[in-house]
Amino acid sequence: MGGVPAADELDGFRAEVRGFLTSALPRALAARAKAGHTLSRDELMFWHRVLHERGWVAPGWPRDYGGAGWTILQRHIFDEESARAGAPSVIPMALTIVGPLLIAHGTDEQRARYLPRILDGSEIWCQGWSEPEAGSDLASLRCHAERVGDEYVINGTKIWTTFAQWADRCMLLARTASGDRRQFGITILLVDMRRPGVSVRPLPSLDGMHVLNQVYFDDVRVPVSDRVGLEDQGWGLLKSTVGHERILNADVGRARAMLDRLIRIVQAGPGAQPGLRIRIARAAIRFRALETLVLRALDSPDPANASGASLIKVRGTELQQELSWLMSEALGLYGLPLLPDVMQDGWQDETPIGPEDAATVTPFYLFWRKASISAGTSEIMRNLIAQQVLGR
Amino acid sequence: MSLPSRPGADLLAIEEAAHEFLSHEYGFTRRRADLQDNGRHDRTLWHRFAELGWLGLSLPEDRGGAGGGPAESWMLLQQLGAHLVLEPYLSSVAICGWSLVAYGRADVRDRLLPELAAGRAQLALAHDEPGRDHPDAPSAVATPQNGGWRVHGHKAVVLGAPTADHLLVSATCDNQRVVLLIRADEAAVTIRPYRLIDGRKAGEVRISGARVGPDELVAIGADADTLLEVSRLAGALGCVAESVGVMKAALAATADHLRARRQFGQPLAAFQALRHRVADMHIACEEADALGWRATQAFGAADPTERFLAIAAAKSQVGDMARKVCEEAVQLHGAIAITDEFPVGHYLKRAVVNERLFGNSELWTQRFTETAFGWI
Repeated sequence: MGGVPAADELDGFRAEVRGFLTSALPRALAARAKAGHTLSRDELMFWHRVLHERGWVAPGWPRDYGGAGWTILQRHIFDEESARAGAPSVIPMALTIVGPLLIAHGTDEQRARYLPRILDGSEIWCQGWSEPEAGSDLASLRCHAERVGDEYVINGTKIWTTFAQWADRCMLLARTASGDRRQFGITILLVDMRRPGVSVRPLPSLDGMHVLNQVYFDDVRVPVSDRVGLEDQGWGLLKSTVGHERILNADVGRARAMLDRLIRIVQAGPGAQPGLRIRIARAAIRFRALETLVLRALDSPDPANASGASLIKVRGTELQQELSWLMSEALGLYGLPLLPDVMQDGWQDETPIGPEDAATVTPFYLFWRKASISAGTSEIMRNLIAQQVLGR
Repeated sequence: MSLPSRPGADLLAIEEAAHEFLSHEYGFTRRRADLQDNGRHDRTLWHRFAELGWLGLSLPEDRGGAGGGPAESWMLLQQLGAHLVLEPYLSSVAICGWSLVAYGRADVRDRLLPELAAGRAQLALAHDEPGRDHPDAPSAVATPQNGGWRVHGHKAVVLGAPTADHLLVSATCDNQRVVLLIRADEAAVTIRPYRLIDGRKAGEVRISGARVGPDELVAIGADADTLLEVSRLAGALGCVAESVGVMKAALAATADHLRARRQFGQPLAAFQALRHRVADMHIACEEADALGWRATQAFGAADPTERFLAIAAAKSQVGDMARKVCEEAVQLHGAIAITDEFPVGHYLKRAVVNERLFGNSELWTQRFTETAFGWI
């Protein structure tokens, strides 16, 4: 592997990350993140700006564009250490998708206009990809953009749009042509969410929280200068940009943090039933397997296209889901009270109901059913795995 | 972090060579002939293994070995599993050999290991007893006598006993454990031989008053405890390695079958319900391989807790994973896999035996839980 840092350099890198987290991450914020409280926009953007000042907010971008220029292995280490320390996960869409897309395929003007504002956190982005009738079969999307003079006029709707309620801009996949090959005729447009005709409907998730939205576009006008790449050719650009994310999706750091929290819950309580202990042990063992599988994928000559990526996505998300359930089970009856204020802010009064942090656990279990659905469902992943084993 | 995440080219070469040899020299038909050849112990193949350097692969160079470590055996054992080899490599080399490399009295090791590497001696560990797996205080008794011992006892389901030249026998002597070397052809030793359900040879060993001289002492007290614990870890890791090879072979056979077999006018491989089951089989193989590889790395590592946890983790999961994959292989092959003359069912048999030997999944999950979390 050319250009990959040697093991001792990586140890040094890990130490550097750890040192930074120790000094820069406020304890109160870390405690809230570790306890699973829903972080506010201000808290998330605070951490975004701290990372930006350190030059680490865009780990995968090249340094020339203000990124950290890290390898995927360094990003993995950073994620792992961040989760261990209880650092918030910054709002990812602009950093992992929009930035790399513009760097690879945007115009100079687009890069100059958007990248600095992504980096300093002055603009939040969302992704307008899925539609009510286009989920796993994304290429069947129908949200329509029609070229009128120097503008596109957009009509249609997007769904499951994370943080659309905060977003200043949307990276939109719109249909500009239809034909036999559905991947053709998709165009990437950068839409100002404050334009007339854009409206956002909240879709509270099973935990009662508001992260997801449906977005409607009603004669929304976007200048042609906000098109990325050529008209009708967006699908190819997208495929070349979305790649490594699947390995990082396994989120070993998150799983480790969950496992640690599970063990804390059990140790603080009256003790787990033997059956539960055995299942916790199995989850801990599955975690060990996942660690090795992720290292193997990261260690392969071409991590972005590593054949293990789908497998890791499936197992990583299933493991997180299992851990989220075991936490709930370990709490027994106190996994059941629904306490929205406590989920948000923790206990503010003297007489807590059940153990500290209990209120966030079962809602998270419910919310996290999403992990095996978003970014490629487990069924799509199994299709890809079967293709490797059986051929088409 | 600094350990390699997967086998390098040198290790893959061992696997390739073993696969090559076994594909040519150990076809399923040849194996069936071996299976029907009850009572005769033909060492021809064992001697070929010695010539190929397999027996000494993970034994030290100064005792006739090639100086490799557990990683070399990890590659070889997977192939022995994949080809369903009946020769007693696991019992003789992995369990007894590896244990003796680092533990036990030096002069016994100096005598036995070169014989083992050269294929002149086969060993078997006689430790389990009826109803008592891995006994802390064996019912077998060694009574001190004339500077040596007199041994009485019954050892259960001793893998490799029918062909072994020497037995490593555990016994209780004055409230401590002792491991003694006893010749299998000694008059006071009777071995009732049989095959396990997967065709490998094992037997009940009854020892009635065998005289053992002081030179045959392998280990006593804490040394014996260590040796027996290491033999169990070695056995567990060996079973894991074989089973990972078994499950990969079962998956490969299943994939071939689904591509070739046509029903309802199309290949079975076209049905998504079956494709997803194959995907799950593949996931299980990769997870099992990852756990086994990590255990292999840890077996040679200095940290005893990590060694224990890594092996416990692997043995607690791989047995069930392998059985599940092999059951799926049988199911997806359909009725043909129920017949004994078809190889796929034999993968299942091997997986079943490996799950049970040296502590089953449940026991190792329990042991993992105790060590990892300290919850008793």
